[in-house]
Amino acid sequence: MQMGETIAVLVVFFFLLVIGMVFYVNIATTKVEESRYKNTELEAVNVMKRALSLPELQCSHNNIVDEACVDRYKLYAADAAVEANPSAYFDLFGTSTITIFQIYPAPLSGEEPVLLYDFKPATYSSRLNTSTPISIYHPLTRTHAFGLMEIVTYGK
Amino acid sequence: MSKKAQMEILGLAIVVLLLILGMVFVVRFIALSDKGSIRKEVSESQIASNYIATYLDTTVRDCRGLTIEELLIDCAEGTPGPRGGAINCGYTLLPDGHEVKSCEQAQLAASTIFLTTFEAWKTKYYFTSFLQGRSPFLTNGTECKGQKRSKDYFLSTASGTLHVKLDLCS
Repeated sequence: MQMGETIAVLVVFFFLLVIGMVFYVNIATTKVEESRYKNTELEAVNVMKRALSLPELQCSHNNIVDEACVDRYKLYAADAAVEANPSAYFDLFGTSTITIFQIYPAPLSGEEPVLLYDFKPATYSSRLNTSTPISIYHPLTRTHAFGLMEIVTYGK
Repeated sequence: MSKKAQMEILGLAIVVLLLILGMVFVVRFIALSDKGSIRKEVSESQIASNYIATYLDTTVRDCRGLTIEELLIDCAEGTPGPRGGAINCGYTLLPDGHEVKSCEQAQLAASTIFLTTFEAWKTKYYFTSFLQGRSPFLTNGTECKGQKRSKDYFLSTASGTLHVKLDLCS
């Protein structure tokens, strides 16, 4: 009878232990996934900040930099430079895609969207899309257009 | 101690254990339920601060190469309203063929921009232009009911301070 009681208590104890373990593993998995997602989010924010402050793109007048402004001619030059040296920009932008396009006024010929950087991994766990408004400056006509910088970041 | 009493104590112990376990998980889940997205917060703040500045800087090709800021100032200094303003930007292609003045041109530009951005992203927003102490003469979107992130931009005009305000609804 004593033996039976001991076995019953042990069964209950292990039962509770298993339930506890299952919950713990579930929570630990959720936490790992969450922190991985947060890291991808932070990376997306970092890439956006880096792209906005890239000297290769920034508009400037008398050495004063305009915030959130992209010089159209610098953009074309930067596009060629990034394409020629992808490894140099990988440290800055990692696994992401950066596109700049004009919204208003309606783009004319030669004002098509520019795919500045494109490094899409073959496999990824998450994909985050971030857009920010930018002014696209045309130095010849001295006009500003309303544009968007779209950044897609891929999580590992 | 009788056998029955022992069993009762064991039962109570199990109940207490389960309760503690439940409480721990409830607390853990509440603590983990913070779904606030860093990216959303940063991009919203970035959008709110960049949006108005970029919008005001934009050159309107259909209106003598004036900027939206210039059009809004003219609109505020003239007769602020949907078809107000002194600057004539040409004639509309609509059947009535009316003159497009600065207020309407600024509104048209805002509508085009918002259609491709906030409307496409399904983001609720409220964009207004108003002279201090008066009701808005240009509006886009719908007023936010709950929390919002606001950015107000001030322009000096002959009629007083012109506010250009963007609310992003949470």
